[in-house]
Amino acid sequence: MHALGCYHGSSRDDDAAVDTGVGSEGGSSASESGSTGDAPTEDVAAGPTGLRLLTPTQYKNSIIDVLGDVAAPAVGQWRSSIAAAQGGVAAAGVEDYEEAALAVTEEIFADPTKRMAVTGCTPTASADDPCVRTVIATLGRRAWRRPLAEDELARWTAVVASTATLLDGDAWLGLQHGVAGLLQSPNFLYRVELGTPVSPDDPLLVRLDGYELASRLSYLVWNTTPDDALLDAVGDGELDDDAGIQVQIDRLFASPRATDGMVQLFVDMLDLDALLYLQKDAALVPAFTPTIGPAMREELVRVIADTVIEGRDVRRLLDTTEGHVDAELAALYGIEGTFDTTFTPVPLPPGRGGLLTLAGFLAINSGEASTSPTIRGLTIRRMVMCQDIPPPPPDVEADLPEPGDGTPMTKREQLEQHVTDPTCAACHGFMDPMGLALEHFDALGGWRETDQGLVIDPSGDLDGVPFADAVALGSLLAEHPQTGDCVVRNLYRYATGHIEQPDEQPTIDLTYAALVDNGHDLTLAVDALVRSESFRHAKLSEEDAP
Amino acid sequence: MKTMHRRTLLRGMMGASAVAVGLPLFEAMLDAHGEALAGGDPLPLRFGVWFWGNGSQPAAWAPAVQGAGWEATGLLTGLAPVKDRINVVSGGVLPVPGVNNPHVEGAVGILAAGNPLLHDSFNGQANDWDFLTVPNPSVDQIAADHLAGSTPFRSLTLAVTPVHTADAGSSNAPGTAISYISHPAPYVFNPPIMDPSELFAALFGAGLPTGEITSAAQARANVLDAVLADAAALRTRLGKNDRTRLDLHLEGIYELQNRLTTVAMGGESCMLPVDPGNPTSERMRAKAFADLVAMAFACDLSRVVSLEFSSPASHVDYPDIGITGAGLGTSFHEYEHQNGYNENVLTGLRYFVELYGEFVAALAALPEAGGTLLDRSCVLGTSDVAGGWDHAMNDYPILVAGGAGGALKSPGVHVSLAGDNAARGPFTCLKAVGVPIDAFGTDQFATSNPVAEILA
Repeated sequence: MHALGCYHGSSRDDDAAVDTGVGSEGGSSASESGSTGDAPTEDVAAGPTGLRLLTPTQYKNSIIDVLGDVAAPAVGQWRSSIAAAQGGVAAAGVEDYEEAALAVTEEIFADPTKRMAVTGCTPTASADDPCVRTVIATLGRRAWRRPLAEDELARWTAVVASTATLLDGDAWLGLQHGVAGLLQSPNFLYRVELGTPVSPDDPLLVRLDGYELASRLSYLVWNTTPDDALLDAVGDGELDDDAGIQVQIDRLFASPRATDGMVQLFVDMLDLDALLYLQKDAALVPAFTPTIGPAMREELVRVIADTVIEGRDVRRLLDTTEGHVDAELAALYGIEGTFDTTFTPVPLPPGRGGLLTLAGFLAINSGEASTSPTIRGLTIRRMVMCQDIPPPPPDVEADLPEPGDGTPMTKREQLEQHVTDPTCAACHGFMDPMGLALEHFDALGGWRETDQGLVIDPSGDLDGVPFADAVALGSLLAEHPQTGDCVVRNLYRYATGHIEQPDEQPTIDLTYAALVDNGHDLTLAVDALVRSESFRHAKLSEEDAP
Repeated sequence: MKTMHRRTLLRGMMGASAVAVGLPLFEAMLDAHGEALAGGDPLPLRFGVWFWGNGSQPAAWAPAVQGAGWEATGLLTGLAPVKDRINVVSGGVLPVPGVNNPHVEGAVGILAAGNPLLHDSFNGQANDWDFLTVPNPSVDQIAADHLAGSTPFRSLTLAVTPVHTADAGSSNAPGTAISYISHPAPYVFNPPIMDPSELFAALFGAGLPTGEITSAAQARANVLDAVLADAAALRTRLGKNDRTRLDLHLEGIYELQNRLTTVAMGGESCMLPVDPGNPTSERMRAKAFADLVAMAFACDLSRVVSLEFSSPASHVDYPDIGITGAGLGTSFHEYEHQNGYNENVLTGLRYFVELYGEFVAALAALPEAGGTLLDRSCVLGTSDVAGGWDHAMNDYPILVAGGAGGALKSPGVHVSLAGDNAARGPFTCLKAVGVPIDAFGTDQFATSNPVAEILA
């Protein structure tokens, strides 16, 4: 590692990972523990826990998995797992949840065919109707990710009956409202991860119960609520030991839905949902349209999905030669051929290769009209390598000076002060060269041969290792240990809903080792993480102990 | 007619702040003097925040004369039509710490009277503004706790120009205070309605109230009762932080339930307005919001509003005054940094104050009890910095409009705080409408000293 000491955060070399000696075979972890309730014999490092609000995507996915095929909206303000674990719901959010719950249940219950497919029986408005009880119990278990207690069942079957009475005795309407209520309950909207104390000596260390663990698994791999098979497995005690957990992990990864969770990890990590709100200055970036941001996101999702399937090498994300385009993206990339609104895999045109050269990454890391090599470089350090660069000193004017006499300058020329002034160079030396490598791509991610008629020089160095252009930079980053570390770090955050603390580093290390030892197959890193104690426990703060 | 709702009981169980269950404001229920409800409750008081980004020009914006003889000239020219109803509080200093983004420190300091909180995931990124939130509820939410009663909308949150970022809530931007100004708690914000047509639909989409609760509304309220019972059970198992989060969620459920079971509204000026649509002009949007808020107050649909004309830093275009990316090549924020107080910037600063004046005038246009709505309102006009060019925090712009039920000086006066804590301005507006607090804010912002010179 370089000794300039500007960035901080983690630094990774492969020797350290190998030293942990964690192999790729299941069940060999030294820290594994047996059935639920066994106190670990050593200190368990784990993060805080509590209520984890569903992200909008998780909300949508979960509704569909509770009710079946409905037009569920993505509701919620906190779109990453980390933010949702801390963010709250205000009045406007409550209204959104109510409106959505009433709409999706109406879609089912106003349709005689659809509602019979969901319920399998015809309800009556009586207080102890067995059909109502069965429907509430079945849908409630899916929605709340655990069986309802008897008092909860009584409460919600009573709501069905009393609501039916208010609505002219219409039992179907009563049931619709009851189900809509299950979907507004905090037991649905939050993933409740409270655990139970491992030992009376340490009331702050808790172990997640089987249902809570099933939720973690399901949202991690499928980004949705646990399915009936997983909940059945918990009920049968199968998640009480490692072998049973492994059976379920294997089952989840055997499904095509496994890409949903793994893609979401990268959507969180790179903040790709910003593409849903992409804005460019229409006067200066005429190729911008309201649909192009979502199209860029779709390409990234498809490229990511290609690299996170079992047996694939996740590093290919950084140097893939394949993109996915619809007509709009094909035009932006200058790819000849006939395209429509569907996405087609295509070889990327010359000059492009890997995540950094895809339009979505370039567009969200640019200004509204012009590129910013510093922002692009900073994003690569922060979000791709998990290294942070401190902010500029407070007395620095961060806006680039405009050329005094109107003479065109390249960004490299404008940023010259970052190289010549030692105060700037200490940090900008880490950011600008990588950003300048991407100068052939404009603020929307389109290719440009020149900048204001001037020649673009995309060469530079990554911590002293030279590269010729953006594609070569992608190849360097793909092989860089720090990028694998960063994926694992984000995997840990995504799975547990918090930023890792120093004492959790051993879990990051063993997960990283599993990634490296298994040909960078991300699914096997997930296996290792799930086997760790950190995944199965949480530590309450003194203040937060109930 | 529905009986009193169980929510009052549940509130007691939750230990949440007690709320007065207000009475519907039938004209028939006014007493003979028209100044109080027949039961003896006074007519409602209202509270508003009208906020713009990038401040004013320190040492230049305030009138030369103190007291009642101040003149609406210079940057305050736009206040002329409502001058008598405005108290000008100049010379205050906002004691920001100067460690985080100044626009956020200022907005959080003046509206929540505290130092911003940094999100756990912040670890040195350049753009700290994406990680900052309030430490305390914002001033409009403090007012709503006391004033809202059983009005259907506990508070209205509006924005005229696009908020600073679409990223709030993402992993990279979990902060809220650069974009939003209405906060019930840290990391919880009230997302603003940005389209006047949407506000119209929320307030008046179902027409004026009929005085009856529909069975559909009763059914929804019945479901929410069970949701509240679930939450009460869950709450007992939670730690302190999660209890606080869940309580806020519960407040939202109460508010919705309240709206569903409120039977009637009224007031002598209450009538069905026309849907204003969504004008492309930001001035017209601001005006449309002002008129709808006035009617919401007149009908007692709500008593509290937070209107964000532009978010902290004013990182937007103002096409109505020619400040656009295409025209001047940049946002107002960047333009002011690059040019200082040139004529274009001063035009902007005059414009913000003028639109605040138009908002105040909309309240003065509707009669109530022998006066106007403005007589029973306090509308705070302020910003995120004293001066946007250099992030100055001295001579903070603070305008306090309305009669607040007789609590504020009328005609309004100009007073200088002579370097004292600017947070006294918002505190005075809260006190004027009867919010029963003895102090406001935390740390160096804390004050228990309202601006006596503007109190009647």
